Amino acid sequence: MADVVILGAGISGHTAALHLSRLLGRRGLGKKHTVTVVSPNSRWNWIPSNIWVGVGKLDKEDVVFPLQPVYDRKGIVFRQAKAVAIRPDGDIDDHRGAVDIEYTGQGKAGTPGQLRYDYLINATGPRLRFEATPGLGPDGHTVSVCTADHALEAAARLREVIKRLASGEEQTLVVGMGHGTCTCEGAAFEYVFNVDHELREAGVRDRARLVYLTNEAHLGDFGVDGMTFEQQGFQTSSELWTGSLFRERGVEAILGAHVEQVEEGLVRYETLDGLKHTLAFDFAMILPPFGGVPLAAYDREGIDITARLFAPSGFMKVDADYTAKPYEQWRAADWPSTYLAPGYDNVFAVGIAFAPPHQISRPQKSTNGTVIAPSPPRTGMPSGVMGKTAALTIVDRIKHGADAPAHQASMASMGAACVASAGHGLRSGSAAAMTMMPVVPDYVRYPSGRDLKDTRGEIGLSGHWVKLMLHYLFIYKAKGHPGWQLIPE
Amino acid sequence: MTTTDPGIPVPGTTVSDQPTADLSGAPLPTAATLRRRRSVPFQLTRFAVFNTRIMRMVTKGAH
Repeated sequence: MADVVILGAGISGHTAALHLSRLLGRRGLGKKHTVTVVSPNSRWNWIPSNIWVGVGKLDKEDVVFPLQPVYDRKGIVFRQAKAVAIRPDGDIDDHRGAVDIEYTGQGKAGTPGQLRYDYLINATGPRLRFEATPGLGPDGHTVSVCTADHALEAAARLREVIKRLASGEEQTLVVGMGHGTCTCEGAAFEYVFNVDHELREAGVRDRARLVYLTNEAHLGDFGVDGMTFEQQGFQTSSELWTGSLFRERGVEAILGAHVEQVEEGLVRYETLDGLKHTLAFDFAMILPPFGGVPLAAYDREGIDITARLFAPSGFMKVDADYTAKPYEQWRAADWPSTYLAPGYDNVFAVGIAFAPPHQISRPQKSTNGTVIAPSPPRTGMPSGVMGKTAALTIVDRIKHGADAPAHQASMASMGAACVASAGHGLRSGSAAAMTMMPVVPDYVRYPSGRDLKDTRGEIGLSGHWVKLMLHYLFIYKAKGHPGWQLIPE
Repeated sequence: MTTTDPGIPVPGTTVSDQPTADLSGAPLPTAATLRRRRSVPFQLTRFAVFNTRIMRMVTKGAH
């Protein structure tokens, strides 16, 4: 009998829960094990499609669904609660690990509780750190597409801007990253081109100034140090390829920017040359930096060991090489492969929750010393793979003993597809569809850092179809409908 | 803060110009490329190719 607890029901946590349920058997007669998911949210959100909610092409209900019915079918216990502390060594009452939780729903909001575990997966995802930049976010002066509700608000504000443009006013729209250390540049890239598409459809593009404000030092960096593609017998960079799209669509790009503050209709930012700028706007969708969801950790005696388990960013340390070293000495082997927390063979951190060893893109500082360095993306496809990897290790250890070898899936050996929508529409849509292999460049194995056979990029209508197909496929999979496990992460 | 040379602002100075990236060197797609990007028969082929590539990557990677 083993109890598995998963913190978080995003892509990685939910994927892990479904695989554990499948492989350990559902609740009922003869069931020996429990799988419990702890999430403060009662609904699952296919976040990549929030972009389309944010331009009014989809409704919120198209991208979310309630978790409880799925978990009821799969024999997974659901606790609508937030984890507040973990006790990996147990406490004086019980040597088994425990998680302290506080309910956020199920009629028990605010009530504390505790769950014992034999295996723990921390898949808590990001904390949206809007507060890192004064004035940023829905409580400040900008909108966001980080959640389905945020995206609904963004769509409403965009509609207002389009009305003003239609009445003959000129408007400036800014889309981008709200801090020098943000990640998810791909989401801002998608949103800016979806906004461009909407403005063109509404016939008002000529009166709109559209600005992409990013912490990337180069276009096409995407927080993964850019990519090299082989096209028509030549090697080309994602910088040139992306720049072509910006030029074609008339989207201005401001690079290497750290947003310092947002005021009503005004963003203040610093660039790598140390100069400070102000940019007036009528509409701004600017993403926040991410931090780890705050969790305390205590040892058996109740002594605080948070700093031992978590990086200062709040992300959980795993089997990565966290030795501080310059960019030139970064190696693929620095990246974790089992996602086990050091010192524990039953605690994992996957998806955004694990602390990366360093950035992927070359980190930069402005001449004033301000860090302007995109954080590594750990969402989407890699996130699901990590969740499944942790689940497979747990299943092996439950079935074959605690010393069964851990499954491995390093971001330096796995590939990812990134389909960046550039407009919605079955005949008029388009997307920049990219594959990269591996996600973290490995300059020892490949001169360009990646396998050029599997690192490709193309723009066109088919990319939109792929993104739309993934939307339906992944929601189908997340609902655990028949055959869900055949759909790759 | 003021600058010693009016043409070159020093770090820390707030300037009104936007440091927009110069994209004049980025290649513009030709009319034929734009047509191909929207051509349904051609894009159906690309759709199949891209999905094949994803599946190859999934089977090749540490999944």
